[in-house]
Amino acid sequence: ASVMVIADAESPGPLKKRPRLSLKVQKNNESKDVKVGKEETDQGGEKGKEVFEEENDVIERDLNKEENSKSVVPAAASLENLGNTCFLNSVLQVLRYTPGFLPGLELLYQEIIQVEKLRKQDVLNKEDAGVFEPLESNKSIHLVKDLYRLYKNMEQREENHEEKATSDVMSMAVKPQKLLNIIRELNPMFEGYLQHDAQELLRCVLSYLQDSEKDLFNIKKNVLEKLPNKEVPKNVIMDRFLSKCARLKSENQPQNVFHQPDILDQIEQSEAAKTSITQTTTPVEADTACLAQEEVFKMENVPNSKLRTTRTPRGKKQSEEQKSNQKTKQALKQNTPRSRKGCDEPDGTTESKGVECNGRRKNTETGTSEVSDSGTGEEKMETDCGDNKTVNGKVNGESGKKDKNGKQQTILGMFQNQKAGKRLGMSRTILRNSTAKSGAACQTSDGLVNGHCRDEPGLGKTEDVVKCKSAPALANGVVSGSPSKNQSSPRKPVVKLEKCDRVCNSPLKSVSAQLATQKLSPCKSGSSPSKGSPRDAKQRLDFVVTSENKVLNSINLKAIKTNFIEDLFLGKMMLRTKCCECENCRERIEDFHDISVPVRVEKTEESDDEEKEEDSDSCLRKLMFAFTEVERLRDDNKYFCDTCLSHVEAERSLHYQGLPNILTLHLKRFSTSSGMFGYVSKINDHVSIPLSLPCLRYKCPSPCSRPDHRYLLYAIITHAGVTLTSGHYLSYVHVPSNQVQGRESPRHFLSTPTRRYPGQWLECDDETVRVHDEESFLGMLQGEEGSLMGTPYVLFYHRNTPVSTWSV
Amino acid sequence: MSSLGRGSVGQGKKKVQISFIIRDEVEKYNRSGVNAIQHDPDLKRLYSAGRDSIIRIWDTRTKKDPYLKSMEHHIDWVNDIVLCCRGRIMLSASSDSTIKVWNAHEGTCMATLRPHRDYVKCLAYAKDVEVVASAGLDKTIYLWDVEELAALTSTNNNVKESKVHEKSSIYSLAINPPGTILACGSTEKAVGVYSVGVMDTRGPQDIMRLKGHTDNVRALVLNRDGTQCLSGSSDGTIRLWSLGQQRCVATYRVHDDSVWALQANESFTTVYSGGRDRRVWATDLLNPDYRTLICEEKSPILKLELVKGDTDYDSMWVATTDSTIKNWSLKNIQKRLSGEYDNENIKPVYTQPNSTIKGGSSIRQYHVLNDKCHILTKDTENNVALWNVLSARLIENLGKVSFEEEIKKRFKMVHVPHWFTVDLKIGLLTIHLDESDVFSAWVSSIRDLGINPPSEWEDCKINLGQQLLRALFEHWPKSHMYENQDGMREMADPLLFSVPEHTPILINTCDDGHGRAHFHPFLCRDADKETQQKCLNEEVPSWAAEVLAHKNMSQTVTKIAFFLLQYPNSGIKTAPKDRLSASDMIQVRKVIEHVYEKVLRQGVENGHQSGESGDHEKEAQDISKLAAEKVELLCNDQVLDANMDLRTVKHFIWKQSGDLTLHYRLLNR
Repeated sequence: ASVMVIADAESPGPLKKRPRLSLKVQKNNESKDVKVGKEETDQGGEKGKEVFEEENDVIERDLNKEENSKSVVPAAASLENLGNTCFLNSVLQVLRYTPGFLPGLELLYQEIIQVEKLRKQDVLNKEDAGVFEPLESNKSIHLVKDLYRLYKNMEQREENHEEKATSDVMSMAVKPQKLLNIIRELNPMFEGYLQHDAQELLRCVLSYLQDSEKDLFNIKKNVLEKLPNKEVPKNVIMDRFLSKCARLKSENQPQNVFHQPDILDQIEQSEAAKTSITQTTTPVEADTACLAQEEVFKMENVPNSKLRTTRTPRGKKQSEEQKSNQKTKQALKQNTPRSRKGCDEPDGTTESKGVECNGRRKNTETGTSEVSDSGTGEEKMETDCGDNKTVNGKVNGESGKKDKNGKQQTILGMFQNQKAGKRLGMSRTILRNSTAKSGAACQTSDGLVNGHCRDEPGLGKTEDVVKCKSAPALANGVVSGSPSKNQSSPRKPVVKLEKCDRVCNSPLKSVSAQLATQKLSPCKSGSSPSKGSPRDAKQRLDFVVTSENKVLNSINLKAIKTNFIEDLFLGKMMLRTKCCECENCRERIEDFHDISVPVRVEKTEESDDEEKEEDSDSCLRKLMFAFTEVERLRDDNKYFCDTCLSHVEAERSLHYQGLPNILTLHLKRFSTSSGMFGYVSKINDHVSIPLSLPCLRYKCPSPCSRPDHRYLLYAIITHAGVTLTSGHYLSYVHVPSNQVQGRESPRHFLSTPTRRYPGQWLECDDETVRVHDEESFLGMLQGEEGSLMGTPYVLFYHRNTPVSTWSV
Repeated sequence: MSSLGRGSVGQGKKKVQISFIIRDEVEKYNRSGVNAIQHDPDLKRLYSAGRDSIIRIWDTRTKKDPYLKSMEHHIDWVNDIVLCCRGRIMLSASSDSTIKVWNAHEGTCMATLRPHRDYVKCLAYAKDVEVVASAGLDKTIYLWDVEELAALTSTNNNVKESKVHEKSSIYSLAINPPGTILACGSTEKAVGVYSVGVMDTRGPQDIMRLKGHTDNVRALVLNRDGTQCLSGSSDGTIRLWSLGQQRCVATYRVHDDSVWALQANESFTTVYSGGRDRRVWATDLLNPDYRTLICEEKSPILKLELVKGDTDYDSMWVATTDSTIKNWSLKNIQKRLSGEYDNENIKPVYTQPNSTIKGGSSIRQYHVLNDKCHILTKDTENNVALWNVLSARLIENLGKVSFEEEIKKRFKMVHVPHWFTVDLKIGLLTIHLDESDVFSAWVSSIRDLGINPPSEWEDCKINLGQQLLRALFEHWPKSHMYENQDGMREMADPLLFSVPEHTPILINTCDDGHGRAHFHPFLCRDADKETQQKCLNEEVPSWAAEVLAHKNMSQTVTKIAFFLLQYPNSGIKTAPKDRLSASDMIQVRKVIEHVYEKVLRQGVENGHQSGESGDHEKEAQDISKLAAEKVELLCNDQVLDANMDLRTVKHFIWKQSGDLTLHYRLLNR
């Protein structure tokens, strides 16, 4: 029973539900799961706890049926088999215990969340907001999120071990369903319920993770590029701003910008607004006015948009929370204004013209107010939480809404009719945002939005800012936008700017921040003259400036590509081609992620008697042999030597130059050659596995003494069965003792049950996890007492040094 | 030339290539490295086997002009030579996978042996029994009875061969003078030892593998009774093996790099060695501390040849990857035996050789100019030269100038398709003509190519490959008469140019999937010799025969499709009907005329009757002139030179796949 749930407009994209294998729980949980999933994505994992709990419930209920508590299963989370998915489970378990993997994943995940926020905000500012494409649509990024959530889930299961664990193995099992789904989406090869090659899956997963890192980097770069550049425009803007203001301004403003002038302006504004409504300025005038305003705006908006983006990370979350609640209302809202705007334009009556003009002004005006809003939003974030957040979020959510629904397209159309519109450039997007908002505000006469807005001041007791936002919005409800406000806004900063120039020398106090303060303050004081004393405002502003810069630094400057997969798994080998004639060498360096080791070494000319003598250590020798395999270019495959200018025999050899932190050895057990034609058969030869590997670097002297060149075994994926498409995979993982782990990971990071089973080995067989101590595992490895389940297939070694010392 | 190692295309399908070498009639100097040398003490002659495919005979008694004769029959590197039967017979092994038997005194080729399926790398000679062993990259060792080989005639061509298969490519061979023990060195990094009973019909018996070297074994010497063996390896060591004990008894580390050449004195007390580090050492086998640096060459050493004096060896010929061969004295060596381990500070005993056989330069780099007729080359002495492929001659020696500068200087904006390939492996220009592309180059005039054709050919379209083939087979009687479709014979067109008569031509047939090549070399002028004629009638591939003996040159000229639009481009997508097609050699001038006549005049002077038949030519010229004055053609906003042809426009200006788009613009003068 496959259920397709088309997510609503709010959610990032259609969430595809695949048939579940555990049929018991499927039906009644389907709808729930969807909601959970959605919420997860929306919340960006912060409110993850409930979410995970919910998913866990599914299994728990299952378990409760057959409850008999004899002995409790180990406190290590296991993975449920979803139908021959042990290949997946074994790999997931190994990755989880791979040193350095979880922290890397965590960082990547956080980065995704950040970028998503950035993008969301960026999209708000963009023209083509209608085609907003969520990051989730990038499947590899989706995979990261799912993987992260899975591990988080596992971790939580382990944390709540006391309550959860029963004697039933399912009590500690987590379903990797979503992850499986996304992997199948990424690579249809993994469809169906046949067994797959764990090694192939590992490669796929790692490459997808790498892709996601790359994609994320590009997306982020894109987003950041669209943001105004911090360094370049600083002085230019300042200069232009100054000149512009000088032109616009008739008289010098006193130092105390925040006081009366604002109030006066406000009054003026409202006065002007009234007049504008009644009198309907002539189009020509309006245009010029607009021109001027927009000119100013262009400059203002540069920092504004920055401000906005900085605010995003926090703002978005709440907005999303709100969205779901407001969905229905919003839908209502969106419909009404659109239709109305639609008729407004063609009407062409004087009144509508007036509306148009005013709308324009109002737009610019509300633009400013929005800026202030965003600024204060930021401030709020820093200063307090709770109610205000939601308020702010709601506001943002609204504007976001508008954008998405492309409502402002009509407004844009209006703008495009005017020359000024062309000049807007960047600011246009912002204008449109504000238009959207104000449009929404002014046109929903029934006051859905206004109603909200009205509530908000009540909620945000301390926040006058909200009022500032809502007040004009309300006013706009009767189309009260006025040009005077716009004129007033540039007027004020002038004084400040003189200060600014000095302040701006330090990069931390960026122009944007300064401008933000300037933008902020008038509005605030203007909107709530009773409460906002200038000093208060200033203090707050200062705070905003610093906090904002912090944010800027932490986000904007970090457009560096994360590549933890590369850092962990990537090694470098040198391909050396030696001409057998002149014996000149050509060297080429290549990357590798794993090393394939032939299980059966064909008798080649290279094999020496000496090697045969030490057959006891055959495995290691085989491994070593694989590391120095020599390919001969001869017969019809001769090599053209640049020195000999002739085709000659040559030796091509591999040398390991840069070794990865995590060395993956893939035993070539499945070969087409040894089996029947067309079949892949398995070589079950015994290969003894050393717990540590010696140095493989070709440059090192043969007994290399450097400990960091040695490798320790930390995981094995074994395969039981005779063919690639059947059989069973399980994994053995070594739980690091803290010394090995090195880095004491911060609390919020994903973690493994390090404290509970330090230094022990876990046998992860889908839902079942068994704990072996080091000694008994070694015994199993050497086949003394019992043996491993299955034959070792993929071996994982890590550098014999703490993770913290790895060159990441 | 041999296309070994390039992998045959189309298994089972006969692939025939015609090649020729641009060279002087007499190549007096080694053109490239010398792989092997042999000294004839009786005639005081030295034989050198060159990478330029030529075995040269030198008179060691004269220092001024020692060149005596060339033995030219190989078509690839000669890798090894041995002088047998007291200097009467010579055997040579080559990368063309043949072994040739020569009358050394005469310098003539007596027989060619083709058992090897890959490069033949080495030979070994058992003096007492006149047996020669050959081996190479096909991993096989053959044993030859020299007397039998010397008796080979065209009628009696049966040879008893006994062979042995090794596991990997063989790079060195040694046999003791009585021919009882045979040793081979290979990339297996081991020395394989065989016992050879002369009368043993079973062939050589593998008796042991000597392991210890860590890299290819490149040089071997056996002592007279076959109890000791010296091996030189790419691992930089020389090892002395006791065959009785089957083990290494001593390792000599005298070289800093691979050891490529070994010789020992008859008493097996001193080993002379040379290698990649360019040094020649004499090392006392019993006391390796006693060793002497004899000389230091300028290039890696490939072979040593000891020359016997009155009592012991008193001098040594040294062959290197350079073309010059030097003779170094071995006198005073014994006194100087002294052990010192720091190789850096040791000065060679001799800094000047006894005598030098000067070598020539070999071409190292080439650049085919855009006209696909001229080639610029740079040789080992940094001389830059200009060659003409069509006439197979050197045009100009430019001396020591900048190769890159000359290329730049000679850049011409013309595009002619590729129609030949160049090979430098023998140090000379070798041009390969291949069926797939030899006829792809048409030109409208060959005068620019430095060739002055008969006047009636001046304005004819000419296929470069066809004309060159005709020149190469100028002396082949079959090419003198065309056989038309009715079987009637008619005189062939006159040749537009000819190649030097001494030009070696090679018909190279690669007829199976094993990379085995059959080749047939001959000189241009020899094509009319009776035996040659017969061969050629069989060997000349059909694709060449068709243009030589039959007048079947396909006149299909490559067409080029293009759009002709008014400038500036309106941006409107062109309708398919505007798509024109013309020979890719058509000049821009012609297109301009077309524009003038068909596009412009159509509207204006539609009714105008062009002059009567008498003025026709004049009229045409006028139009051409008028057109050029009134119209210009552009491609990618670049005004086109009227003399440029369309393929050049497409290649240099349009620079994209897809149909060419040209724009015309009226000039207001």
